[in-house]
Amino acid sequence: MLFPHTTRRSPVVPMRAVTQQELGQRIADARRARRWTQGELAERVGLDQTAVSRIETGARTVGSLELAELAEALEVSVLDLLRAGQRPMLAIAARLGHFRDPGAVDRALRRAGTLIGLDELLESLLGAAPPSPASPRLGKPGRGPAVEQGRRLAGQVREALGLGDGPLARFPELLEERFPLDVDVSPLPEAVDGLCVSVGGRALILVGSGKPSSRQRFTLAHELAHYLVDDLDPLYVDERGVRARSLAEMRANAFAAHLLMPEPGVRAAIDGVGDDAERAVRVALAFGASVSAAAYQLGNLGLLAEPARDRLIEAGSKPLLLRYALPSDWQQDESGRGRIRPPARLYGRATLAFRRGLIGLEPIAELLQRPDRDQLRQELEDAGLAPDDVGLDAAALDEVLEEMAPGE
Amino acid sequence: MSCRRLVFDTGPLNSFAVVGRLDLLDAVCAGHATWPLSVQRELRAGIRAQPILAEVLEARFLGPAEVLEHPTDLLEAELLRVRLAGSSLSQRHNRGEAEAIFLARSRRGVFVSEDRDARVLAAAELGSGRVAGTTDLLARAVRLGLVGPEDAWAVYQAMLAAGRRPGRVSRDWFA
Repeated sequence: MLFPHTTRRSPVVPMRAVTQQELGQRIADARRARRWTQGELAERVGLDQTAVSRIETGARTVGSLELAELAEALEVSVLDLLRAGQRPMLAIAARLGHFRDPGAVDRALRRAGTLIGLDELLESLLGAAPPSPASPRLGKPGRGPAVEQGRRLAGQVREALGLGDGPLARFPELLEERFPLDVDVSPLPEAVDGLCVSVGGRALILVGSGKPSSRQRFTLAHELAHYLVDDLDPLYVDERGVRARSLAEMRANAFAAHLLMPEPGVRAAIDGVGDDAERAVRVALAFGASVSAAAYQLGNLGLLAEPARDRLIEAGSKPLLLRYALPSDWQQDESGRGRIRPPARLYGRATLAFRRGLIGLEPIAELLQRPDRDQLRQELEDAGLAPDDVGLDAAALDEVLEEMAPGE
Repeated sequence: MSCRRLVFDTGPLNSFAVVGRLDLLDAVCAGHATWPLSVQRELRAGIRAQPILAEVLEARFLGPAEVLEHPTDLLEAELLRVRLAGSSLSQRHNRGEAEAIFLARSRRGVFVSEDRDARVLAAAELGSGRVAGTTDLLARAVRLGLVGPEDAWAVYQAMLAAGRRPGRVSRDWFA
């Protein structure tokens, strides 16, 4: 039983600890994974090799500070070393940007790990979250060219959700409300546009906040395709720029294009517009897409010739929006850069736990990626989300202290 | 024999030390104080910047620092730490507060801290009668007749002047 000595005020779910021997084994496993000798690990944490050897065999206990130092050196979490059982495996798909960065996916996964860890913590403190919405029933994407599969799947999603042919407003919220998944928009390594992680029956889609809103939307739709088609396992990485794209990536891109810009809606948006560039701009503005994505989709639908499409993509969004729309349209798209949007479900539960005094400010700051802790605390207080300060009852304290006092 | 204790986080020890009034803590605790090793280490690390903290390490009323090393205790303390520090910061962050709350819970004791979030969390875990701050102990010293209200106010002002953040109270707090 966890916390055996006190009457617990919070509904903490019991979590069992490993034995001394198991702890030593986990430390040894983590060390071997880094290909370090016991001596190398010992040097990094200021112990001698014999101490590390005895820790790994369970013959020596590990103090809390030593354990923190060992965990930091080994780049593992103290919690993962201590709790019994294995964490469920992650299934992942990632969408990479234009340049290669071998460690980018690992760095992006740290954010996923933070969110998953917070979710687990909140579940232990608040109990299970309300049931997730059931995924709409969708058919298989079927056989045939990948692009055709993506188009069919997008049509099924639009139909199942009753979305018609119009633009998708509040896209992250729509997905969170209708699918058992969370959406996080936050800084990711430059090379990673987005990432879809599935763990324990829920999915988490991470979208890099460093890109314009239109690109964030496309990435979100792309990752949704991976989730729906269940091609998250094993680690799947889309490296744009590599000519021979896989079926799954082409399908995900086609899905994203058709989900965000359905054919009937596209045709209606360009009705009466003859100029190719203006057509692409109209579609982009109507559906919250980039001009490049709009040009691609017009090309896919046979509404734009390939050379014209390529010229528009080469030109880029800004000059075309400035010429055929308003500077504010470009600015609005750009304003999405850097805007952090945590998963709504997680934010709601985290603020509830904060208000009840079950967690501190730091997990909220971490969720919102806010460095300005004092300002954040003030905002939460202003919103009525801060816990009551500890209104210490002096009489109760005196009572406890009096109990201690008499001549023990 | 009861094992109830006042379990100290770093802040109050630091505040009383910088104004040279660890004697008040000694008297208020009456032999029932303890501290985790992580708090002792934090204070030791601060000696270079604040040499007066060496007096805390030499204070006999605290007794030997308590070491957590059983995996079950380590896990419980770590779960408390993550609730305060999240998972992105250094794994040493908030360790002192978490271990002191853990010890207060296991000793049916009182958690003593200046950290607002740690005090709120401890109140949720232990009950508000088992959470105290620097100003609470100073007020207790007044009630015990160890120091007069005006002197307590002066001690408090000296803590503020030394850059400590013992919590905001008015002069009436010590009346």
